[in-house]
Amino acid sequence: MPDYVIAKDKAAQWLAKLGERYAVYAPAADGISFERASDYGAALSPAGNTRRPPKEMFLPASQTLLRFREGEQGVEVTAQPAQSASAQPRLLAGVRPCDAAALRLLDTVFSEAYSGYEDPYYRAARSGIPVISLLCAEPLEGCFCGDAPAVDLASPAVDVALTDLGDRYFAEAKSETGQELVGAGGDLFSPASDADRAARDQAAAGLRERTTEGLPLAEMREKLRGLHESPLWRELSQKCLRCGVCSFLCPTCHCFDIQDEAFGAQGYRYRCWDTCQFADFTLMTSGENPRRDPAERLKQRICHKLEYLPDRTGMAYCVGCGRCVRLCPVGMDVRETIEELAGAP
Amino acid sequence: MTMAQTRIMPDNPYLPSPARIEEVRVETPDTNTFRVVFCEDDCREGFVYRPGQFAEVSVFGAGEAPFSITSTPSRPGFLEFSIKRMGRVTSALHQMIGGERIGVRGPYGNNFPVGEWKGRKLLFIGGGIGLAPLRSAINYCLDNRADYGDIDIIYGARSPADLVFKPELERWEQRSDMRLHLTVDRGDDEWQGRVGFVPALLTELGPSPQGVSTITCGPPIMIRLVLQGLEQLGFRDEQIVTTMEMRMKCGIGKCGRCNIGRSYVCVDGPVYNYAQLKQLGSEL
Repeated sequence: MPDYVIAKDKAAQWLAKLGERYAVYAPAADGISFERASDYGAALSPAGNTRRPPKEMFLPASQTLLRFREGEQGVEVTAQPAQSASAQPRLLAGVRPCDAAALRLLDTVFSEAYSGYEDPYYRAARSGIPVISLLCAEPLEGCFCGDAPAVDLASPAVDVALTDLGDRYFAEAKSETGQELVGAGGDLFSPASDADRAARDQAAAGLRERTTEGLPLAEMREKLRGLHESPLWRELSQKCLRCGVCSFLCPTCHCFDIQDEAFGAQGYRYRCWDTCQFADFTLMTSGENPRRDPAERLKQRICHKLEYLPDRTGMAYCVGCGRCVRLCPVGMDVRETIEELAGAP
Repeated sequence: MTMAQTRIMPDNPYLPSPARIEEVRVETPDTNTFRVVFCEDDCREGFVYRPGQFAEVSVFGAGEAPFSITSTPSRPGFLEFSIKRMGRVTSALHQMIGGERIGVRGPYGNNFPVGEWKGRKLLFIGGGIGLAPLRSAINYCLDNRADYGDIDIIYGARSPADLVFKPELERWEQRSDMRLHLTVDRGDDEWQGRVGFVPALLTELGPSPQGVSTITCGPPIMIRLVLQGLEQLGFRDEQIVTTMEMRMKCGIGKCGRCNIGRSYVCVDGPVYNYAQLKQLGSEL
């Protein structure tokens, strides 16, 4: 696919054009989450990253699955469609390479190949939704995407990959949809030169250098196999408050609970984010709980991402976004956790 | 461009099929067996299961929970679930007297290796409600009796009142082509059978491991002691099969909580041999 450049002051015009066809979602000005963009000029700011990852666009914090009501024949159940029929198709712009990689990892979890069943709610929300990525200008405190094997900083697996080159964006169309999106910009885009490509590679290499700490994320899969009985889990989990923020805000965490709410003769079944860091996550009604201890729960969080999911999919489920590092209320740093475990005998 | 919002969900694994409770049998003071029939013919025909699999049962408004299917596919037309009253969903089920509509989805998980067992002797070891999943395999093997060697069942409960499937236990006792070894932890005035724990009875019977596949399910403490007993008798880990219980929600390998190591109990289990469980780092 050909590469392009677009002048920075033209990018807002391009997004406005896309906005005629799509509901464009981009990092909100307050930096919290992806929201419907109103100011297209601000949508592609390369500063920082959203506090909440874009996963909630496809796996909402809470989502109705079914509705039920008492009918003449007994209870009647209907599946809840993922979006209302009138909704405009969505487009995500300004997704960082770490979060773009995380979306691909989530796609795997919700696919049929992963467990024999495709998740129809995730599919309905996700399929046909174009993603435009943007390389960060500066890493945030705690970012370590350079260590994450799933993350491609120069050319993430999205529809259009943007890189800030100062006065212009480098734009790589990475799919047919991406080609269409660039095409919609018409002559706002011009073909990229070899110098542009070199500048893009340099920007990506520069960011990689600043976000590489040498954490062996891919190698942890083998290492962790030998550490299931390690006393380190207890030691490392000691200051954890079990608030769960590390997993709620993790772009690859996807565990959910399913519950019913009923009001008289009708109600609904919903799923909502859940976390392995809560004691009742695995508490059975019998009172048995295989992960009663916080040490067991830290082991679950780390091993699920770096051993069990890699065993299943071939990929480490950490993209180095640093959210769990920045937002932990007691300063537990997953980089230190991984370092300690990697260095264990 | 694919329009996500126009998609319908014709194949939604989260959508239970409507089913009716046809019969409720009281097994013990806290356990009932529910015989369930799908309301629609295509659901009944589409629900093809193997012994050892489970289903998600919905009481709309109370929630959904996984239960092993205790009936056998060799007796088609209905499903049976034996359910102990424990939490929200099971308590709601226990308030049902028959005729009510519930939801069922599945079947889920792997199954007992009834094919691999052909030509082998079978030793089932159950405790309490743990006989429910075994019952599916036991009746399947009895319905295909010629395929299997000797069949022995060791079953125990806390008290005579806690023994499940009593009419069926009596029928098994009367059969000449299998042996049922019953025990209770504590007898009562009427109990004339054995008194003692299941693992002790296993040791007392002292079966030879030669050509035997053994299947155990019961409370965790019983399973631990049975495994020790079987090891002492010379059973290899691969000869011992059990079915695992974990907290479960989706049943389809997405919600992420029921894993033992890399293995999701809902799709890779619930049936494992002891060698597999050791490899997964299970703390049985």
